[in-house]
Amino acid sequence: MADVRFTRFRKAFGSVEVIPELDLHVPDGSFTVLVGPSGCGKSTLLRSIAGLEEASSGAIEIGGEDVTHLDPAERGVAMVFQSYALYPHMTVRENIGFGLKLSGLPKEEIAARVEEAASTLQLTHLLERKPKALSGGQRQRVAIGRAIVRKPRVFLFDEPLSNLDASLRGQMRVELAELHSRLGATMVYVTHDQVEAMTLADQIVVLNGGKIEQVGAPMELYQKPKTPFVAGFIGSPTMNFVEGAPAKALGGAKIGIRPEHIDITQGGGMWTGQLRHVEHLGGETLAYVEVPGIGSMTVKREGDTQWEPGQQVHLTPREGCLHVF
Amino acid sequence: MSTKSRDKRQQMLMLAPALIFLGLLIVVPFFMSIGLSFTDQRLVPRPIPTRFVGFTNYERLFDDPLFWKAVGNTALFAALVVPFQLFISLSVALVLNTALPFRGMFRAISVFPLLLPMSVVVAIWAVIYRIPTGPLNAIYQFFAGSEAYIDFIGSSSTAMVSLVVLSAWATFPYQMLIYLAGLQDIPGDQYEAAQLDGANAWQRFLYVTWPGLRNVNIFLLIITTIQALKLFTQVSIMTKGGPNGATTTIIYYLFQQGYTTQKVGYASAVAVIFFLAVVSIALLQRIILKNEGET
Repeated sequence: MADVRFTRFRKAFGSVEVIPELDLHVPDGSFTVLVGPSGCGKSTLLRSIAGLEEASSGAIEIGGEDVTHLDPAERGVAMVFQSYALYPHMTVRENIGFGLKLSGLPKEEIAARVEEAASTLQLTHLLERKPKALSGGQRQRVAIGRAIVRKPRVFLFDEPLSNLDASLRGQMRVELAELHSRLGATMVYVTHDQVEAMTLADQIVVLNGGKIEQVGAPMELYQKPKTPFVAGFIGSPTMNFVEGAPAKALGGAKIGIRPEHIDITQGGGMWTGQLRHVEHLGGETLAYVEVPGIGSMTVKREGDTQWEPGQQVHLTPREGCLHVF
Repeated sequence: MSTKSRDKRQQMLMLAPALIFLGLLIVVPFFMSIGLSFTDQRLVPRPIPTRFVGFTNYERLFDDPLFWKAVGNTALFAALVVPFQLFISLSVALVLNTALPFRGMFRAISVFPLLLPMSVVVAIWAVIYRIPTGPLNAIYQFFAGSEAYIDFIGSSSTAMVSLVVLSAWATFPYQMLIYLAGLQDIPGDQYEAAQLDGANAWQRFLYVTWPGLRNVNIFLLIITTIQALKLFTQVSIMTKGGPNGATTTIIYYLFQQGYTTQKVGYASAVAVIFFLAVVSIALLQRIILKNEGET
């Protein structure tokens, strides 16, 4: 196990600077999620840890060792790719054992370690199959098996769940979390899905345009976002923003209010608006309210409601739940 | 008339010109040659009418040592040129698939031989092979002394190899382009995964590239073999089947029998046997390679 440290790390592709100078520490044994919109540099950062991208300047350390100029295989990391990147002509057993075979381990030890990884991931009955005969979730597990069998210092995941359907994604999320607590290994995980980030991470790194917006525990980012970008990115549905005169009345130039922190009433609220649309999700209801002078606001309520589009409603932000920027 | 049958009629009308041409130029001659192979048809009509001779042509064919020599030569040519040409094609494709500077230019240049008519290719190589002062002999003389030279085309021990080199050079870009497409079809992250697994360049080729080219290899093996078995133009222009029959291939033998000695019936029998042989070889390759893939 080991920590990962970026020091004054910079990455450019030709004249395009993807990551301007950046410092980041991934603590030993943590599950760190790099999250941000497409093109924010999160995958580049991950691939730089793997050694698949070379640093333009600065340094990367793994477990205190400077690995900036080491080959990918020498860094003691394993990576799970978005497309799984399984070798199509090899069986599951050969796929998982490939790295061990190349490292020249004796056959008996390879067999034992492959069996161990397979049983951890419930793949034992699939060992003689080829990838094309597996479902998406099974392929995903093989890709993870290929990573854990090498006992790496750091696990890297590049959007590993994005090719799975929603229910499988939920299930794999739980399995990944369990895997992390069982192995206690350092894991760095890239996603653009904030639900994955919130549920898996003990440290989230929010990236925007190659810069770190904020680093912190999931609930810390939810409760105390430092920038409007973080506030807007973490939490679902997205936070409401109020600017101008209504914001000034609340004590700031820009005020953020989460949809779950707005009370909706028939009379006597702070703002008056018209219900534009209502979404009934079963366990909760989302109301989209058009407020003159502010714009569209989203309100979230537990359970079902009797709201109707076109209805006049009054909104009041809950005391102590305002985010002032 | 219903719309459907009118559509059908229109389709047939559109197809007709192409079908008539194909029929007249390929299908009819194909069946004609099967028919002719059972007759004593000559190229120029004789006063005596053409007769049906049964399997006489085939019997004579199987007894003709020159035919068997042609079969042997053709097999030798194919056995040499197919691996050689595929090796060159794959090597060039691998180089052109890397992030080479001026890659576009090199790709364009590499296709150059395909643009030349075979007669021009032969003319170029005739100069290269020239005795005693061609470029190849100049290199040879550098090592073996100024008086020494090799008669590449005129000696029966080197004539076939000379044809192999020339033919591979002339047509390798076709296979190279297909390899290039095959290489670009292999997902890049498989190479990255292999890199993380600790595979060096050779191991990445062995475990990712080569298996990834499996279907391309099967296809190229079959079409290159067929192409090799049909060897004619180079022989016809450069060696005329010589020296001493060393480069007489089946098709050149067929041409000699049908045109030089005007025995069209006999030449048709050669064509039928050749056709059956090519189809069997292609099927055999396909079956063997397919079985290998299943295990």
